[in-house]
Amino acid sequence: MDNKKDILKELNEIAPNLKGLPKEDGFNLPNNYFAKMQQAVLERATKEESVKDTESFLSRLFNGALKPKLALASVLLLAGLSIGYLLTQQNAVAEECLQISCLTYSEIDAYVAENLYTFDEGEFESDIETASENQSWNFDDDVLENYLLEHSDDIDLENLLE
Amino acid sequence: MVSDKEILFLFKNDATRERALKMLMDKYQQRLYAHIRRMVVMHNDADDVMQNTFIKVWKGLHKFKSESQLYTWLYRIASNEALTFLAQKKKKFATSLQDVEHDLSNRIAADEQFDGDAIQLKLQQALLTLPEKQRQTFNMRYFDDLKYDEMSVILETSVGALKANYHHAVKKIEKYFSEH
Repeated sequence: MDNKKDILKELNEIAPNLKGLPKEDGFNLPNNYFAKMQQAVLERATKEESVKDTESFLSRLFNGALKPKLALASVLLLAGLSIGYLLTQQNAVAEECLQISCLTYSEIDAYVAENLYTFDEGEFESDIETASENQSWNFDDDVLENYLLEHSDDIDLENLLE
Repeated sequence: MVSDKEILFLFKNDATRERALKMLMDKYQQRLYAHIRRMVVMHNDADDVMQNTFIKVWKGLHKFKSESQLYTWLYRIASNEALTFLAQKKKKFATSLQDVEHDLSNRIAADEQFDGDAIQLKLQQALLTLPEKQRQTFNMRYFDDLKYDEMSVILETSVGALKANYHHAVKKIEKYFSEH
């Protein structure tokens, strides 16, 4: 009560012309408003609670069971892709060097040095003969003459005759 | 009248949480409604803000620390919700807040949920010309009979600033009455 008196006294001190200002604001509200309001609030609250429970369940499911499995699956997939890529790269390198022309001299030297003592002369001769048979060495005179004329500048006849 | 302590105790238990909310609403709804209504003026708007306020309470009451009074906490939520509502209304209609309040001032006389006399109508119209914070301060001091210490906790504003606010509000209302 003292507080209310203090407030009125304060108002009179600040604005004496407002003496008698009404303490009621004049607002009213519909009948049974608070009961309806409470019902609406409780419905919303329980609805939010059930949504929250569903979200919580899904969250627990994900974190508890699925997340570790998903993590493991991701790791395995990544590993598999990496291995596949590396293998593909190796095959590409291997395919590139199936042809002897891609080998460097140092690679050839290294190969010869490694395999020198396992070199089979007989097999080599046999391979040469086979290659010779497959190769057509029968040139007719016209072909030979044309070749000589085209490459006459390159041919050292003196060495050839020797 | 049920105590705040009992309400908080019941709220902690899942089985009694809804009952606690109902008890809380029974205890505080009239005061909170009056405060909200004076800020937003129209009943339908006050209803929206009331519901939003209690839903916020429902979600946040488990975090309430008993360092402050429960009513102070509720009052602060209601105040913030009312101010947020007014700001959103201003945005929604792409008008200034003064335009919103000018519109409310025109509508209040025709509002069937207002049955005040001519002086009460003039007072509400005068209040709508004030900046929101001044209007809020006036309402809390004059209509809700709150002490400056209590208002300071609710609004997180110093007592000195609140006194100044109230002083300016009263002077402006006095001027409005002399001019209208």
